[in-house]
This record gives sequence, C-alpha cells and structure tokens, in this order.
Amino acid sequence: MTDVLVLRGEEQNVRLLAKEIAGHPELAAVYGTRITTADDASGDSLGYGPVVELVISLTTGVATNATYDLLRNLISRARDRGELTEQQSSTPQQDDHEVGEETKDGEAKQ
Amino acid sequence: MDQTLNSPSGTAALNLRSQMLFLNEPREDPVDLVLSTFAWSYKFLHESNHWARYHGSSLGVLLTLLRRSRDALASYFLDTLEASERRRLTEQRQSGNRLFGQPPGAASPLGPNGERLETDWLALHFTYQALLGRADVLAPAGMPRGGQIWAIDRALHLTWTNADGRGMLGHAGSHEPHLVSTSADGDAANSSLTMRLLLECAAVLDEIYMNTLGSLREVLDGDLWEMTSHAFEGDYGLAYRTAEQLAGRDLGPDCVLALIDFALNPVVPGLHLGANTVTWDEFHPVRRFTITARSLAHHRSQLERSKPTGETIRAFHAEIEAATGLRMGRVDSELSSATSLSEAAQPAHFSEIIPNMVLAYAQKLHEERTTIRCSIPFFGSNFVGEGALRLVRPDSWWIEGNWWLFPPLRVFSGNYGWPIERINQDEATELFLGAALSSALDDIVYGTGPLTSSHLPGAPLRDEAERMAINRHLEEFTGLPLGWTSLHVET
Repeated sequence: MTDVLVLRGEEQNVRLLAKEIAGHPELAAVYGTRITTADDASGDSLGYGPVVELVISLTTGVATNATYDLLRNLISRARDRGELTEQQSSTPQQDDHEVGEETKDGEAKQ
Repeated sequence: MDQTLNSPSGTAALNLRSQMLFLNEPREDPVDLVLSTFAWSYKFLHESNHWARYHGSSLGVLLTLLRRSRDALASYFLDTLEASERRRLTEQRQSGNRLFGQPPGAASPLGPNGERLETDWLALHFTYQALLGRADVLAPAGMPRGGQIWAIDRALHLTWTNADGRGMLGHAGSHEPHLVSTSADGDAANSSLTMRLLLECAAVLDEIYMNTLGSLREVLDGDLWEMTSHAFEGDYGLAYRTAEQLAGRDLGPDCVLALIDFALNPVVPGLHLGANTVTWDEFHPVRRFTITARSLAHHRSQLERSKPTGETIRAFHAEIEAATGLRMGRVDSELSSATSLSEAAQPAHFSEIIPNMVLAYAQKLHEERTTIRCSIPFFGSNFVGEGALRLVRPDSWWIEGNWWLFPPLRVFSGNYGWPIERINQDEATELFLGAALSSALDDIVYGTGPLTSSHLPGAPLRDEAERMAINRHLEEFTGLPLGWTSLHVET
C-alpha cells in the first residue's frame, strides 16, 4: 500500500470516517487524517454534501497487515454510506497497484 | 472555465445547468445492506427535495425563464451572423477572447447589433447569478448600483416579453417591471448565505424530519444520524444558525423551513398578478430570509407550537407579511399545458426543450402548493407516516401520481437514464440534446477553450460515434465549428 491515501467524497461521510479512524486506538496510532476542500461544483449543482478530500497518512507506529485491514474495513463501510473515489496522492512514493486514477492535471506523477 | 479533466467525484447532485440528477446506483456488494439502502434513499430524497423546492418556488420559475431567455438570445445572436463573422468569431474565441463580456477597454469583436444583444445577454446572466448568489454579490455595500438595477429591470423586461403567455401572464397593458432599491440590509449583506445554501439547509432539515419522526428512528443506523449532524455543522446548517442568531432565540426546524419557503417565493413581475414593482429587499432570497428571521425576535408563531398544517403555514406567511411588509409570491400564470413528461418532451427549439420539461413539472408543483400546502415547504413530511407508501417505488411514481416531486433525468456511473415507461428513446434523446445544446451556449458566448461537460453524462460523450452525432447537432444549432472533444470529456 501507499503511505498516503486520498479519498474524495461527501463531507458528512468523510468527516465520519475521519472520526472513526481517530477513535480507533490501533489505527489512530498509525494513521493521521486531514480533510481538505475539493468542492469544484461551483453554483451549478445542489449536492448532497460539499465534496472534500480525506488524506490518510502514515504517522508513527508500526503499520501491519492488521492495521491495514482495519482501515480497509472502515473505508468499506464508509462506501456503504456514499461514494468515495480514491485519488492518486501527490507524494513521491507510490505503489503502482494503488494508482487507479489520473491526478487533477491529468499527469500521472511518479 | 472549470477544469474538465477532474475525476468525477461520484457524489450525488442535482445539476442546474442540465437539470439532471447525478446519482449512482446503490453499491452492489454492501457490507451493510440496511445502511447502504437507507444512505442511498437519503441522497435520493435530498436531491428530490431540491427539485421540488426549486421548481415549486416562484424564484425557481423565474430562474428557469431567465435562463430560457438567455439561451434564446444567444442562439438568436449566432443565427444573425454571416459566414465571415462566424469564422472571425470562432478564431477570436479560440485565441482566448470570449465573445460576450470582454473586459472594459478591449476591442469588441461584435458589430452594433451584436453589442446590443450582448448587453441584453449580460443583463440576463447577471440577474440569474445575482439571485442565486450572495446578497452582496452586486456591490460591496450590498446595494444594487444604478447600472445593476438597470440590468435587473432589463432582464425582467426581456424575460416577461419572451414568456408572455408562455409561462408568464400577458404583458400587454401592464406596467414595465421595475426594481426599486431599498436601504441596505446589513445582516444580509454580510452573510455568506446564498439561495443554494437555503436549499441545502432545507434538504438537511428534511433529513432530520425523517430521522426523528416515525418508526424509522427506532432502527436508524447511528451513521446516518452522524452524517446529518456533520452536514448541519457546516455550510448546510448556516441558514439555520443565521436565523436563530437574528431572532435571538431558538426557532426550531419547522419555523426555519417555513422561513426558507417564504424566502424562495418572492413576488415576481409577470408571475404574480399586479406586482410589477419589487424592492431588492423583497426580491433577493437571502434578504427575505434575514429580514423575516429578525422579525421573529418579537413574536412567536403558532407554527412553533404545533405540527405544521396547511392552516398554520398560511397563518405564518400572513404574520410575516404583516411584520415585515414583504409579500409571499404566487404563480398566477399557466406555466405549461403539458400533462405528462412525454407531452413536454416533444421536439422544439433546443433552447426550449428543457424549459418545457421543467415548466410542466413546475406547473404541477405549484398546483400542489395550493392543494397540499405542507407538501413543498415541509417536503420531508411526505416521507413520514403511512402516506409515504405511495412514494416507495421510484419507478412507478406516476401510477399513483406525484411524479412531479422527483427529477426525471438521471446520470448514474456516467450513463444517461430516463423513466422508460413514461418516455420513449426518441423523447429521451430530445431531452438529452436539449440539455447538452442549450447549456453549451453559455460556454460558446461567455467562455473560451473546450466546451465543458461536467454537467452531462460522460458515457455518450466518450463514445466516438455518439459524440460525433451530438457535435453535428451542435454545429447545426450554432452554425459554429465547435464541439466536445474526447480529450475534455470527464472520465
């Protein structure tokens, strides 16, 4: 996995996911989260929620298969609540199999 | 213009440019089926709420008619061009200079006739944006300036002329519509509230309605409650917080929903019989909202003490009118004679097809306003109690009626969808072309670079053959060699 995961979705869903990660002692020890605004809908749309990005990054602690699975489970449940698209992060270290989408400016960064 | 290379967010939205609902299907393999189903239903109802409130308000109808006039004018402008002008203007646009609204001092690429049409187009565009946007969008002091008042008067005149007997009342014998500027309302001017945030707040309040009333509260997943709370803590709850702050006390959701309904329904010249003059305070939804919220500092309404009924909402409007001098607007004109989506989806000028569809819905929604008074102001109440069973199958609303409460055109996973039992493929294609071609006009006359596509389903534009066919229609419609390029279609 990458050391940074960026998920884009509706604010209320993303905030709840961030809270769940922070509220989980093992995950909170390993992953940090940050929410950034990504709403580019302008005035054209009346949306279910403002679109934001959740940046999940490795902070301290030891990331293991177990913490990764816990994180994936929370994300999977969050996907029941609403769409979450995985964005390619702009950090230099990337694992190829995690690169699913183009970045905003259309260039896959390495 | 907006970036079209962005990955689609996949989030739910009602797009006002295309009037299409963007909402993917529920997840195929959910971890928690109940959560997934309810989460999807909430999104669907949230967006349907927007549809009903927007088109079921006098302001929504005005915005539809302003847009129709603007598109008709842009299309007429393109029709008046000769071949050499078309070439010159296409080059001009490609070199990064937009056709309408060049910065002051820039050489205008248009002839005198074009400049006259440009002025009118800009007045229509400005008025549309001013009503949807912040109350201070007009000027720093929150007051429309002389030129802006002129633009709004001009836009109202053009719209009424365009819609005379076609959505609006007969214009003959009426006074010209006129906006009167009134003293600046500091609370509205300083607020970042917009019409959009009033609509969003109402939709979240209706979610709370569903959460707290009826038996759903017994089984509702905590996640959905928390999501509603998170939405409410942000911008979507701003209208609620603003209202309580101005009133200086707790108001409660019913009262704020009624205030939002009042705000979205100003008197509109051409729609409201005998109302040709309006003040800016009375016209702008955010000004209406802040002025009426403040008036609640001094009195409590019956609406705050009991469950909303047709009678309490009517009494509430009368109390507010008496306290503020602002009037509750009505739609006195016939908006559409179409009685079904199919009748509304017949071939017409491409700038008219989506307005024809929307006005057929608006006609029914405004009828509903008079027959079931609570249905639109308290949209969430439709989905609580046994009465909600009639709305349970989105595919068959029309069997029981009530089809007008829900947006018909849908985009899911980039694909275009329509209610197949109500319109055939030809009619659906007509509606698609109406949405795509009319909304391209803004890009053509007021933008530069590639045509935008984020308001449209991506799949038809990614398919080479379909894209070419759509582009042929567009070229025939505009007379300009412009079309969507595969490079700029959202993936």
